[in-house]
Amino acid sequence: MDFKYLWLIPLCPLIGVFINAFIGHLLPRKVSGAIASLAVLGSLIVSVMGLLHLLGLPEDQRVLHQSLFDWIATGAVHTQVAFVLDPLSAVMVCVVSGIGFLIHVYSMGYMAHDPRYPRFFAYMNLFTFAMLLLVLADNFLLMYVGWEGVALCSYLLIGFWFERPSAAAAGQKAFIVNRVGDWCFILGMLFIFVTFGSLTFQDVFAKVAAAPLAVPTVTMTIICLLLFAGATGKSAQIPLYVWLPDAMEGPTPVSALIHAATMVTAGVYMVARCHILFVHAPVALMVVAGIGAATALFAALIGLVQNDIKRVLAYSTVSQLGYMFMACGVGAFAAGIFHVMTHAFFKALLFLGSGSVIHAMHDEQDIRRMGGLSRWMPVTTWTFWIATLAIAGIPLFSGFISKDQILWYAFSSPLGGVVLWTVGVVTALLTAFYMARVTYKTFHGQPRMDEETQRHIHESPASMSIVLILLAVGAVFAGFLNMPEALMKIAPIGWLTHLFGASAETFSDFLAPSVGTQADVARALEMLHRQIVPTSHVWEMRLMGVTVVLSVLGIYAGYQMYVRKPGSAWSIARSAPWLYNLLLNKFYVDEFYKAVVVRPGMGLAYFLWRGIDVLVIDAIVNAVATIVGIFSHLFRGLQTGYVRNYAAGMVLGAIVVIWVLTR
Amino acid sequence: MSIDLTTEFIKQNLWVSAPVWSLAAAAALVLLVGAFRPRSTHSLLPALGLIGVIVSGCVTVHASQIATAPLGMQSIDSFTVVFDLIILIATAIGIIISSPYVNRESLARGEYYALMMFSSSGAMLMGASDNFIMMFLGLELLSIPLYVLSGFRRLEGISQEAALKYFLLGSFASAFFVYGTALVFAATGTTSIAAALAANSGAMLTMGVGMVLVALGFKVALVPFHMWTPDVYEGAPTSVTAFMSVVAKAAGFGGLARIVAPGLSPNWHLLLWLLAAGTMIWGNLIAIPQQNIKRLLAYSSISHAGYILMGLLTLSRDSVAGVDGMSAVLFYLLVYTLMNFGAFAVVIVFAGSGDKAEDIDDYRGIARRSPLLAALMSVFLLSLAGIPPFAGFFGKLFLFSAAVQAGYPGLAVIAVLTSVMGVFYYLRVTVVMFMEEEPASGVADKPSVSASPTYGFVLGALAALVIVVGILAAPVLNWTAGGAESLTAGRPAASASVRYCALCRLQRFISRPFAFDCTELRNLRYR
Repeated sequence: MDFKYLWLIPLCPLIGVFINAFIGHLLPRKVSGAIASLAVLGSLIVSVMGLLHLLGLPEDQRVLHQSLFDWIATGAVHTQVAFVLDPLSAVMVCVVSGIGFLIHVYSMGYMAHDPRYPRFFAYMNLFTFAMLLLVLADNFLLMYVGWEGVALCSYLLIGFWFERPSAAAAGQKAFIVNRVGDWCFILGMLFIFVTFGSLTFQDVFAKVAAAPLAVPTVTMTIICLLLFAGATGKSAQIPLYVWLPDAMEGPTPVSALIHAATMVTAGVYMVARCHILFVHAPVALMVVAGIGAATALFAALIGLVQNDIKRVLAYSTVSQLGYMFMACGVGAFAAGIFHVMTHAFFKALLFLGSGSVIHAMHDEQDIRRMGGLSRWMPVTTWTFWIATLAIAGIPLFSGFISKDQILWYAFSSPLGGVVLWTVGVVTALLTAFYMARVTYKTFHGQPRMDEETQRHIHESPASMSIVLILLAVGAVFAGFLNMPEALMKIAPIGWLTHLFGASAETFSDFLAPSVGTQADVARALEMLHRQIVPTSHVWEMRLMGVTVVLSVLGIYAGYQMYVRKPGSAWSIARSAPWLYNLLLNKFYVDEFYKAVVVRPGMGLAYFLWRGIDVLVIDAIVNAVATIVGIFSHLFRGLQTGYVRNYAAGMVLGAIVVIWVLTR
Repeated sequence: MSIDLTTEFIKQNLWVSAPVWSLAAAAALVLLVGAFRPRSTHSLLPALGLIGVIVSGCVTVHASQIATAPLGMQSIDSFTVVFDLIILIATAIGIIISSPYVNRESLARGEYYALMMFSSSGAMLMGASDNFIMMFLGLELLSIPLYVLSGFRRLEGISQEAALKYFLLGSFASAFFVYGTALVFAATGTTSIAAALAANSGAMLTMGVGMVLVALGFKVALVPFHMWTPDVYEGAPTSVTAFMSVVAKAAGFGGLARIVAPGLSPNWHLLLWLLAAGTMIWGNLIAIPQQNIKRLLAYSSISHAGYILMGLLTLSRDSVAGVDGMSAVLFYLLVYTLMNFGAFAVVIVFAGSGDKAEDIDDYRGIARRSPLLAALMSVFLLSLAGIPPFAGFFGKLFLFSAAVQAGYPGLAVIAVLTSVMGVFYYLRVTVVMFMEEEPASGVADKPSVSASPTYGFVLGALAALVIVVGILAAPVLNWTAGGAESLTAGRPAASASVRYCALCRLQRFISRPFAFDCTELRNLRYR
């Protein structure tokens, strides 16, 4: 318990917020951006120190707890502002502050010409603060503060260019859709409070662990489903994913921050944090896995045909988040969190790379009007390729290792099965294909932009390209932190892993105290009478082979369709126009929601306004106000200003007092 | 009773009364410097006064650790310490707020600060007294300087009127107090509060204590003893109004707490219930049509007296719930000090030289010219109205929940409903400031109202405190709870039955369908 600096982690960005919000407009731009970046760097340094401190402790003592002050203490509610740093939150704070820091640095270049520069950095710091608070909180209520904070900041940042109606609408959409999830999360929180009498993680989880069957499974399932419903809002899963693709209306660094470091990972984190609750509610776990798998496939399908570079990436995020929930759903929480981390690297890289492209192309986002950019932008091209290979799952890139673990657990876990695995593998194929499509269409083939734009294409400034290179290093090597045992047998891989010093204790081992191991999950499930499937390295290798072949196939298909024979994709689309249109219009989900939820909701609201509020409530309120007003004017006359009357009033009062007392 | 005049006894006496005499001595020093040093040194008087207040605070804390034995006249238990510190904080803020104001209005004279500090020492004596006679001393020491201060703008009729009215009615109230004490003595043969109330001997005692209550009710402006309040608040110099609205009220409640603490009969509960309800309803109702901001704040202070009395009611009844109620009262007094001083300070700044602009109409559209001041005013008003996250909200929350817990849900409902009325008139000022246009005539010749550095600092600090105390409500409440506990220390413990607050009951109600045994939970919570 020597590490006393946890509070600094969220405090640093908060200070940045205050500086940029109040005196940012007085500072030179460079200083304002540098302060914001340094604030996040401060969090990063403290986070890494905390992580190293944890690594230095024996495995069973790796929980640092720091309570700052009592926050709410009335009646049964007793909540502290307290932080907890265990392996799970340590990984999360490092990812959030690390990736967040790189994105801040990148933004200094990207937003250099924006008139609301300090405001942008104030929001970005606030976003980072909220996310760090969410991750570090030691109880549900404080977590909820961060949970709402990221929703608020996403609203502010997505709608940052609020002059554009589409941006303003996207900001509102993000906020409102998130509210639906938040509502479920609050309900879940209240259920937890009612059931366990506490909101502190430690208390709640200890109670569940001590007496797993004391609480009816139905209650546990309801709690977990409500929490998961909250997670679907924040982490963009079916049915609440609709806000994320629109969120790319914000400046590109914001998209990177939302998609990679903050916000969308909150849901996965929360589910992993509550894994003890979830493993005691197998039905809820199945729902998590099912929704995750469905979202992964669904979003990948939509991603196939989108033409906006950021929109494709947005759907790929939704799809990858689906993988993470699939992992959680089959009880492999560590694999889910590992994918959060690797995904943070390559998704940040993809978004920042696309930002670099958009920057060079003068705010052009349509890949149909790009092509051949590799000849002007080598750094962007090669880093983008690395991210593409990582997300597609080409062996030894980080994405391959994390995704393959998820697929393996989806196959082998007692909660998984062939169906989940198949969906995951098909999604992997689709992912490889659409990422290859975006990359080839953007960077290779014939240039399709006009002359004027072409002349201005340039590589991005150093502050942006250095960030890309750093992220690319992460996207390649992050996987070695959690090399599966099966692969370690292959000599060069094992040797490389040893070189990184990651062999002794893998990422999963490190996370085990926080999110449990597969064995723990199995034990919990055993109590609920589930079969455990024995696993073997041979099967793991075979399945891995299938995935790799499919990924390579996906990229090759992309190469064939978009570089070798550029017209072929169009002819395929024309052969099945209904399918193409269905995908292009995103399965008409937005239209469906508009007809089923938004329209009736607006109608109801209109009725409540005109019918109930104006005619009934307002009338009552006005009547009450009028009556009160009449009385107060009436009684005001008693205040005559004459001392004799006042004295008489006192005497009358005294008589009443004595009368009451001597009744 | 033989008196043991040993050195030890004298020492004890000196330490027990140290908070009071240390402040009074500082006041005397300020008075002497004001009288005998040249005028040029007078600008140092507020600083001298502040030093006196700080020293007195240190003495108070120190004395509380040395003096232990209660001597029957006054005591220095943890209630005294908490209460004295609140009074001293109020005095310090009062001095800081006064100094630019009295200079602007040419009221600066050496005795101003001395009177303020004398008055505060009286307030401290009231909160520390165990004896009716001591309390009367405190009451007079509190009141007489206030009468003088009210008339400090002596060239203006309205100020003279305020001072005279306050003096006449205050003397009337003092008469009630003395007569009540006489009756108590006649009935029980003692003037010690604890001994007299323990005697429990019939109507004469009850009448005596009732009359004491009338006098204290006058001081804290309970309805129907409140009628002096708006006139005096309006006429007195604004800094004095601010000071007296906080310190005199706190003093009255400190005295009431000493009387109520031993626990009273059911008739008393009914009486306090009626007074609290009446005060809340009347104060809030009559505040609505007020046109003058000082009168508005006067009625607001009346209504707050009603809320605070609710906390005392719980103390009179049940020692367990009473601790919650009393700590809420102390918490509220502290918060009320911060937000009320803040509101009055803004009033001072807005009024301008000569206190011209004190009507709510003068506040119209003022946010255009001085947005920061208008925003600060809104913070204080919203806190007074009890809107989260400001401290005023938590003050109300603790008081109301204490009332519910002690078994007065009806009173709490009245309190909530009247608070809603309060929101109306507080927000009216905010609306006028922010949403109405300034009257067209004379905009050009009105410069933007700006606060002097002193006011800028004080207002910023008070607003920050109103927010910080709101966020850190729990630790502050812990502190005041320490003071509250010492009040009920001597009382027999209430029945040992488990108490449930409203939240717990709601929770039990909800959790029933899940067939979860609450026993374990309950033990956990009340362990």
